[in-house]
Amino acid sequence: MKKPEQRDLFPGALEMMILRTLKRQPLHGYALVQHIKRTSNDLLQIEEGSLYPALQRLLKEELVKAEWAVSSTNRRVRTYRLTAAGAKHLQRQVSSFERMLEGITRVLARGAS
Amino acid sequence: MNWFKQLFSRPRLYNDLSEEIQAHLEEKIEELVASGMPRKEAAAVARREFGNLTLVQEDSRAVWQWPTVESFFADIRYAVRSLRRDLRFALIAISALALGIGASTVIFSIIYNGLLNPFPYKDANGIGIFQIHDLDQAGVGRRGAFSVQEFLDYREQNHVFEDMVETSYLRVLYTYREGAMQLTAAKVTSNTFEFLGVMPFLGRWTTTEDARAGAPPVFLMNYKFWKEQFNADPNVIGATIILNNQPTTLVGIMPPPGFNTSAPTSGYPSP
Repeated sequence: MKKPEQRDLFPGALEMMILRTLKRQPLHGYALVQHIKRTSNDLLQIEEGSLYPALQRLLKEELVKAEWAVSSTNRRVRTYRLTAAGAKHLQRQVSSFERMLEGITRVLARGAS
Repeated sequence: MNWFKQLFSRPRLYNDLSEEIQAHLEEKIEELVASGMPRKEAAAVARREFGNLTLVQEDSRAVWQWPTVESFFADIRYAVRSLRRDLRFALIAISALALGIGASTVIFSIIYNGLLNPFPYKDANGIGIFQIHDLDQAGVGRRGAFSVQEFLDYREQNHVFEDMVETSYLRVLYTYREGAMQLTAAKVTSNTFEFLGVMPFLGRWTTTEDARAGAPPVFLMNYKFWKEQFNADPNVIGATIILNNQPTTLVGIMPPPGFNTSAPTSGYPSP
C-alpha cells in the first residue's frame, strides 16, 4: 500500500505537529494545516491532503476526537480536539523526538569540528 | 473504538471524510478568491496544494480497513461487475468452464466406476476367483468349478481369505396360475450377500438359518423382474412361488442396479 507522500518529514512527524497544534486549541482540518504551514514559516512542504490520513490514524487510536461545529466564519467544519490519551502520547513523542534530535545534532557537530 | 463498532460506523466515517475534504477545498478557494484570485484559478491552486485527492481519500479510508480482506471482496465485486458489463463474454467463459469441468467429471466417473471400482461390492478389490490345476501339466487342465463337498473343504481349511462364497447358475421353471416361464437364476451360499456387503432393496437377505438342513427353500428376486411381473408390489415378500416344482418363499428384492444375476436367486437349500 502506498504511503502518503511526506516530503521532508519522517513518519510520525506530521502526527506530532497535529497533536501539538491541537493542544493549543481545537481546530478543523483546514485551519490546522494553515496553522502548521504558517508557524513553520513554510519551511515544511506539507501537502494539505496528507493531513487527512494522519487525522484518521489519530482518530482511530483515540488520540483526538472530532465533532461537527460551526466555525467563526460561519461554515460547517469538523473540529478536532486533543484527548487525554492524545496529550500523554504527545508528551512521550516530543521527549523521544528531542532525544533523537539531540543525538543527531551532537553527531553533526562532532563531524563539523 | 472497537473493531465491531467501527464496522458499522464506517459509512458515516467515510461520509464525514468526504464532506470534510470538500469543505477544506471550498474554504481554500474562498480564501484565494477573497485575496483577489479568479475563481477558476483558485480552484486549480486549491487542488494542487491539496495533493492527490483520490489517494488521500483512499489512504484515509485504509486506516479503518483490514486491507487484505476488503480488497479481496472489492476484487470479487469488480469481477461481478465486469462480467455483468459484458454478458456475452461472461456466458462464453462460464459455459467453457462448465463444459470443461463437466467433461472431466464425466470422464473421471466413467474411469472410476468402470475401471477402478466397477462393482458396488464391499472390498471389491479383494474379491478373487480361484481355479485349481495340476502342476505336472502346467498350462492345461485347470478347473474353476467345484463340488459342494470340495467347496466346504476349501472353506473349512481356508487361511487366506476372509470368507468364501460359492455360486452356480441354473435355469429355473417358474410356474404360475396362467402358465410357466423359464428364468436364469443363481444358487448362492447363504453368506453371499453379507460377503458382497450390499443391502436388499426390500425384505431380507439369506442367512445361515436358511442353509440349515431341512430349512424351507427361499429366494430373492431381481428388481427388474419384480417391477415387470409383480408391479413392484411390496406385499409379494413372503409369498410362496413355485420354482422348479418346489414351493419357494420370496424373502427379499435385490437392489436395482449392479446385479447381473437376471432372475430369482435361490438360497442354497443345503449347505
